[in-house]
Amino acid sequence: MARSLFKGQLKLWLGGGFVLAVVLMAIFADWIAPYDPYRQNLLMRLKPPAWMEGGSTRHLLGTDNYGRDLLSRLIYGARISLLVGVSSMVLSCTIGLVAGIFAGYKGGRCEQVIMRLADAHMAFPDILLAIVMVAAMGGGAFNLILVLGISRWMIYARVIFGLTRSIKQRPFVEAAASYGAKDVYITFRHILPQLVPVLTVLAALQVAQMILQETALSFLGLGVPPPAATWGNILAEGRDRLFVAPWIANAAGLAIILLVLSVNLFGNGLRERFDPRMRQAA
Amino acid sequence: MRTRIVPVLAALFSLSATTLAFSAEKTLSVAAAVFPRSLQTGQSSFAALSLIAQTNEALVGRDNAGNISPGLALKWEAVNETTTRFHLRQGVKWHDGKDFTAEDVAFTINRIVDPKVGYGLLARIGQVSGAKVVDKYTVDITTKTIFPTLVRGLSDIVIEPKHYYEQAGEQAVIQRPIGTGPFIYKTYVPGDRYELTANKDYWGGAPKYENLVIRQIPEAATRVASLIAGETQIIEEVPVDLIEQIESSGRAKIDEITTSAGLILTYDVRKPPFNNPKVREAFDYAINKPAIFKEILKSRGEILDGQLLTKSTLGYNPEIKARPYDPEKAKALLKEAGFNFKTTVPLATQSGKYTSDVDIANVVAGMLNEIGVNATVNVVEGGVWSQMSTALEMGPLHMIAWYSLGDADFSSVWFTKLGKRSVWINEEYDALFTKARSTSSEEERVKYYNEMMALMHKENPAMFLFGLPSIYAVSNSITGFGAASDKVLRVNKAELK
Amino acid sequence: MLRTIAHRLTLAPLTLLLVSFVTFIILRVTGNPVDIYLDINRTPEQVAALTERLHLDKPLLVQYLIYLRDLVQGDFGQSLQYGGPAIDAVITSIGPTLRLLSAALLLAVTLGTVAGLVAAVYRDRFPDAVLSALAVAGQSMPSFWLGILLIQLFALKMQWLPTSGSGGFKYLILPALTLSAVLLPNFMLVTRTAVLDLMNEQFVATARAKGLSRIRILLTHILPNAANPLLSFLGIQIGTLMGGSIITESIFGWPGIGRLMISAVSNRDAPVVLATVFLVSITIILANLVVDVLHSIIDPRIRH
Repeated sequence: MARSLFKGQLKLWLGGGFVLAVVLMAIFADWIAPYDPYRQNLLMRLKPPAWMEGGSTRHLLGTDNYGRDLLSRLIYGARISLLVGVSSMVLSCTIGLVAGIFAGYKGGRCEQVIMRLADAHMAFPDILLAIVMVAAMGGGAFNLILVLGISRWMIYARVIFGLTRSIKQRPFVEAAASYGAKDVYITFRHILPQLVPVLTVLAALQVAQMILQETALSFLGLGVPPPAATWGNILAEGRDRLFVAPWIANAAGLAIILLVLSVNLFGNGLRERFDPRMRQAA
Repeated sequence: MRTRIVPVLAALFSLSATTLAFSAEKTLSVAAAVFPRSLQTGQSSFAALSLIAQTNEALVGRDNAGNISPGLALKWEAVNETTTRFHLRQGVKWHDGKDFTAEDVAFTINRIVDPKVGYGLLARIGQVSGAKVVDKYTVDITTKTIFPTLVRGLSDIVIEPKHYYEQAGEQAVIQRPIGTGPFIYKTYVPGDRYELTANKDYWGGAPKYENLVIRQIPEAATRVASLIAGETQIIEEVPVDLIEQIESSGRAKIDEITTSAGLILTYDVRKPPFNNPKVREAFDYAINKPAIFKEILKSRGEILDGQLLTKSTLGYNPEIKARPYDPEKAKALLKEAGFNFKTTVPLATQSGKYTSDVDIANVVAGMLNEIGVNATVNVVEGGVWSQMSTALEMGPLHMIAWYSLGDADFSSVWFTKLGKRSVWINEEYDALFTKARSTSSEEERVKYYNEMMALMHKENPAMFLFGLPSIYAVSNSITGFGAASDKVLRVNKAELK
Repeated sequence: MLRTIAHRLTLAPLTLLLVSFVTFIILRVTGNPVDIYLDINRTPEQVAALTERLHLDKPLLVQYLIYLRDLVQGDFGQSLQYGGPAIDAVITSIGPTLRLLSAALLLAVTLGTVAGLVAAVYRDRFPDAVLSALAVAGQSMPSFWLGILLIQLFALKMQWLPTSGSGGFKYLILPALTLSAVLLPNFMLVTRTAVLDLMNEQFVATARAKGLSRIRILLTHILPNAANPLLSFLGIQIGTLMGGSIITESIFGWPGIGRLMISAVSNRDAPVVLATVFLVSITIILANLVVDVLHSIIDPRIRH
């Protein structure tokens, strides 16, 4: 039993399945959510979930500090949390990919400059950079994506750089080069396809990290400003009322754990599928 | 290798173990929400005043309800229209053993009226021109004009030791303050704790315990937890929603008082849409203040009666009533005014500055959404807030509280040209304010303030919301402590069981 | 070995230069100290004095160069918030942070190694399944939620430990646990992988053939060799740990550099922010240097 649980296939299906469910939920939030997530009702504030004493089936997961339906906020919250997680991953992935290929393929001074930049960036905690930048530019989904994207590009750049350099030395690339193929052609035809597996795995794991990062910034009051529903916001708002209304923080916390867990499972599953020997942690 | 690491680590941990080792001595621990940047005097914040007041005292004392009493000065009288004579308490000593005299008072006053010093609380005694020593225990304070709020204003100005400034310099005074107060400075770690020891020779009677520790615990839930767990005996700024938890714990109780702070939503009347008085009036009808008061503030504090001043403030106008909640009328007024429902109206607020500030802002925005206004909440951090406020660019709508400290003068000044903070300028209002400042007849002053409040109610430069409560929670093991309307901690009479 | 150290040391100034430049520009562009620190009653003299002290009338780049010039002389500037030298504020709070970091590191490394070993030995069996599942769950947990749950459980329900603040050893436990959770799951997984890889190596088979016990092989053959990848991993994670301590300090009211940093950023106290950034970067660089040195001490070629 335990053995099969950790087979790659199951991870892939379980993780992927849940992620897909959350994505669908986010897309069709308008049809699924029972209430308007922004609609306040002061008379209904801090009502517990249906299964607790004092709860009712009108609000399955209870209500928050402003009497907003928690279930609806979670459903809508998936939108921004996913959007921020995926977009910032795409951004940092793109920057890292370009920088990594460039450095690895060109070598020489290019490599020196890009890789030293990446090294320098590694000595600067990403959350520190995020705090400085968000505080400076202000909150909002767009800025958050930008900040998170920029703060993690070097992770890709380093991996891609190493891979590109080793691929470049393989016979088929050298052969193509000796036939006079253009650099751009070689990059797209020979190098990029080789990178896809690693990139996919890394991307999946990074989405998880980005979602956690969004939560951390929301906790510090630097996330997407209220009243926007994001899982980080709900968790951060719930923490002040943890002792009187623990269901708010717990529902959001559980949602985050489940999503991040699924993304991680999915990523690990992918990794084992692409390369059974590659079992290292992120 | 490994054997060498262990002692190093042990040393690392034991470093911290030495700090809290009071044995038989009694220690009172207080948890504050906000700590000031430093112990520099004159900072215009209640957090700073609260810490400074433990070591340093003013000529005029002030109690928890805001009533003034003799402090370092025993009595005072007017010599002429612009000179007031203060007779000082004799036999008071600074913490280093030197005598407190009129020299110290004159030095303090003359130092801070110099604009180069940049004393943040100077506005409290803005009309003061200087001080002169009459004899060892008598001092004259002179003002540029008649200044009816001098004595009350002086209750915020702590007296500092002349000899210490001259010996050690300004930086040393900030680093290690010396005062005449009930507690003596021990250490101050910004963002963490302020430790003090009791002043055995305090003129007002030595505190009945040896040590006072004021800790900063910014997270409200953690603050409450520390009280229930018995780590602290008094906590400030209790969130309204946690009151029930404290009361049901059986270990502590709530102590609260209404402050003199009026929480208001100020409009930027210079720009559309709020340059239109009709829009401002409509917004006032759109907010269900009694509902917010009942549900968010749990009926603590008070609902402002359509004016800046709380009921207990000198100058409060009992004739004015808040506009009723009438969303239909609000909608109709907005349509009439040609209000564009598509424009976003951001509501700026700080977080944790006032009781339930973000909650109130969110609910207000929610109620505006109900009548179709696209209102959002913009939570602004400290540094940005000061910058916006200095530039007078707070955005269309911002939430702020003004403390009157019991006298209309102190809060109504912020809507005059003189206060430099108002975007709403009204000649009639300014004229009334000047008149009120230049008479010493209390009856006349009240009349002027009443007129000013009526004017503001008509013009709506701001939406008047609530008189804020100041909520403390106190362990059952403590007696002799009371909630303070001015948020200054007064613990020298407290006793630990 | 010496070359790696030399390489790192030449890299250090570049890193610090870059990091300080970016921070300096961001802070200056987004907040004018005159408007933040002098209130509305300011006098022209005050404005002039502050402008001159901070060289605000000069171009940004010149301001940065002046900042660098002072820095070379060991002057980080005066804190705008606290009045005193910026570096003083940072030095008083680096101690608590280092204490927290080392405690968390100690926890993560010991628990992580043990858990990783157990998981590797019982590969694909029940203990491995449970530990790996826990690790993945740990990776997915927002650390501040964990912190809040720990406070609820140990400080409020059981009342074993204080809720927050700093003081004796018991104040350190919950923050250190929370912070170590950032690192522990990953560390365990890396240990597991490294040990599994080594188990297939020739020299382990040789040792087994010699009849050495499993425990002995694990402790004397596998663990020393696994130290290398684990060290590299630690080097990469120091930054993450530093970042995690910002969150942890906020939850537990720990008077460290993270909280200082946040208040300095929100008050645009540029000298303190920059001094913090410097110290944090230097710490990370030094930590990596230590890792490199340890690397060469625990030479991988010494295989029993």
